[in-house]
Amino acid sequence: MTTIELENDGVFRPGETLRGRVVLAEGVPSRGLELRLFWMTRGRGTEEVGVVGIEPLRDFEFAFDLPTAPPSFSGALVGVVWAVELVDGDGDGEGLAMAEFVMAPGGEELRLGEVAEPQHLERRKWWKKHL
Amino acid sequence: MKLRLQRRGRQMGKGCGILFGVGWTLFSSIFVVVGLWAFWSSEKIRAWDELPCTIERFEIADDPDADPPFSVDLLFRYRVEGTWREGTRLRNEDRSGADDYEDLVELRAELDEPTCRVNPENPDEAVLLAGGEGTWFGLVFAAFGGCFVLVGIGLILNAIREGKPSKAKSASGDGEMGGVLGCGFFGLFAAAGVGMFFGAVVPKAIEYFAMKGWVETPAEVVWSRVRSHHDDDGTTYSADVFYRYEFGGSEYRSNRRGIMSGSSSGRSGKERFVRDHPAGTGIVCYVDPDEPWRAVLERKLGWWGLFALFPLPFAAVGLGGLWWCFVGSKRKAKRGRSVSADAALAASSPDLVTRSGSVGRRLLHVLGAVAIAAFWNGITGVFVWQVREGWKNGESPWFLTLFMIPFVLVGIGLILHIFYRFFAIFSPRYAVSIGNRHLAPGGATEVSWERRGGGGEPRKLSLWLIGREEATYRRGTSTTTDTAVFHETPLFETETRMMMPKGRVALELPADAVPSFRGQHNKVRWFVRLQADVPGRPDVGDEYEIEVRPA
Repeated sequence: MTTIELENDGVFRPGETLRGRVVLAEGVPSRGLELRLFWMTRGRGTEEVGVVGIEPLRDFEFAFDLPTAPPSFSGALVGVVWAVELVDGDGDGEGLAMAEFVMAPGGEELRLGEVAEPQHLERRKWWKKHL
Repeated sequence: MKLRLQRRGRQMGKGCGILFGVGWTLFSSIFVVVGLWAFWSSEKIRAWDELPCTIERFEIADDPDADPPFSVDLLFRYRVEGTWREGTRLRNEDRSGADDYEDLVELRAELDEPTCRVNPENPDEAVLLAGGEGTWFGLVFAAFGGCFVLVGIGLILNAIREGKPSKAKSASGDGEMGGVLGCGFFGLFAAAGVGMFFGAVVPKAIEYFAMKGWVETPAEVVWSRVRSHHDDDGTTYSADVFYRYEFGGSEYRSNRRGIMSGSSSGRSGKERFVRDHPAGTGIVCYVDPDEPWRAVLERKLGWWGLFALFPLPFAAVGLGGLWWCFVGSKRKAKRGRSVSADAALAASSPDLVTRSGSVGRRLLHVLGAVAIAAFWNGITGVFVWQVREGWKNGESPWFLTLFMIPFVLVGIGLILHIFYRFFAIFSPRYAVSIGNRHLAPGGATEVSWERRGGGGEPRKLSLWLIGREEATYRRGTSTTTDTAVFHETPLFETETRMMMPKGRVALELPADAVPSFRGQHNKVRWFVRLQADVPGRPDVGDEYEIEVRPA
């Protein structure tokens, strides 16, 4: 099975250099492969993808300069996940392997809390309001 | 493992979506086929040989017991291959009669140098008129079906596209799929609204104003009857009065009662009218001096005039939606097309401009409330009218009455909402300034406010720092946005009146604040919210967006 291995146990800070290597499965040709660095959203909203970098695969090792944003985070409705994917550039762009990683200050995915009953949205009952 | 399951789930979802889209498209194609077949059946006569003919007889017969009551006794002659032949068919359709006498009179008036259409394979078969009722019906039906087919194609393409999220690529194609779906969906509404408006409302409006110059003329009733119209929704009735009059030395006949013809469910009113107008009764009609065969008994619009408003909500929704598809969504896509990390932060997005509670924005809310209420109540009103007519005629439509109650309640709520939005215009207005609207986590700035107008004295004034997630997704052809508050910090709160008109407060972002994120469908946004609880008026709740940059 083709895999992507990342350094630092897949945890990076914004602006750092992402390094890793590709381990191809037997019989998978190495020509025409490329790596794509991207973020994608997860959650209730329609999934979105933002490709940040594309590099042809050379020597099975790769490096990307990570941007500063968006950081990896997860919330009740919206989350952003970073990943690097190995793609067959010459064929139909089929994904051969993908590895997710965390990019966040402090090295941990940011978590959005949840305010179950926002006070600023509370409304006094209309009959109390107008008496 | 999670990834594989997700991919498998996506593939299944993609398959279901494609299946649904294919089924929708195939079903809609039936309408297109039927419409085109009706059009062709009506128009294929045009392919026949067109030959000059002589009309020997064109008499309009009336029979109050027949349906339709008016028919044409026609005889025309034409010559084919040296042999004279006779024809008696007006059109290719079996039904050559008419409900309106005036239509047949106009037809006769147009036959100055008549030609007929002869079947080249059977010269004994000929008709006088090439087109038929099926022409326009077929075209409109096919057009409506075509819009549904477009929606189906959009669903298929959307499903295909959404089945490949693991392929890291730009998400801009999503807007294109939405555009195809939106074009089909809103195209339907636009076609219906604009078609009804220009096809029915405008000609009738022109005729209504022209009728003011028609000449009052005495007439006599030839016969009158109550006519029943049966369809799947039930039976409706109309009062049919056939009368004759003299104008310019010639006698004319007509059965046109008013500017709008139609039927409704109440029978008693029509029976009363027919009883009051038996054969031989002297009445008054209004005659078009330029085309004396056109006359009416009543020139006023009555309740039928309200139907002129019927196409407006459809046209508004359809044209507004098409504008969004072609212009609005492309503007949004342009802002978000560069899907680099920095673009996702929307560093200098115009959407971050201070959103104050200005009169202009509150007026827009009123207009929006009016548009929604007009659309909802316009459609609901048609059915409420049916219920009213049913109760009036003793039919006791209990099921329809109970069914309509929730729709009517929603309609009433929407009307009340208009008043709420209107009164909100006069609520207090504040201008809020934020010292630095681009902050990093842990950063600080100052927020100041000043009252600029509006009436009422707030009971309480508060300022909040709010963090909110927004997720937009599609369900079928509609789009839904869910929101969830992930951060809420009170910045200031007072019930002391002297402290409300003006003030300032420090704003400090949490050190672990998640930076703002603005994708097309997924957002993390931060706001400063000013809230005023105003007795006797709608409360004020104005939000001012700030941008949290990455650390």
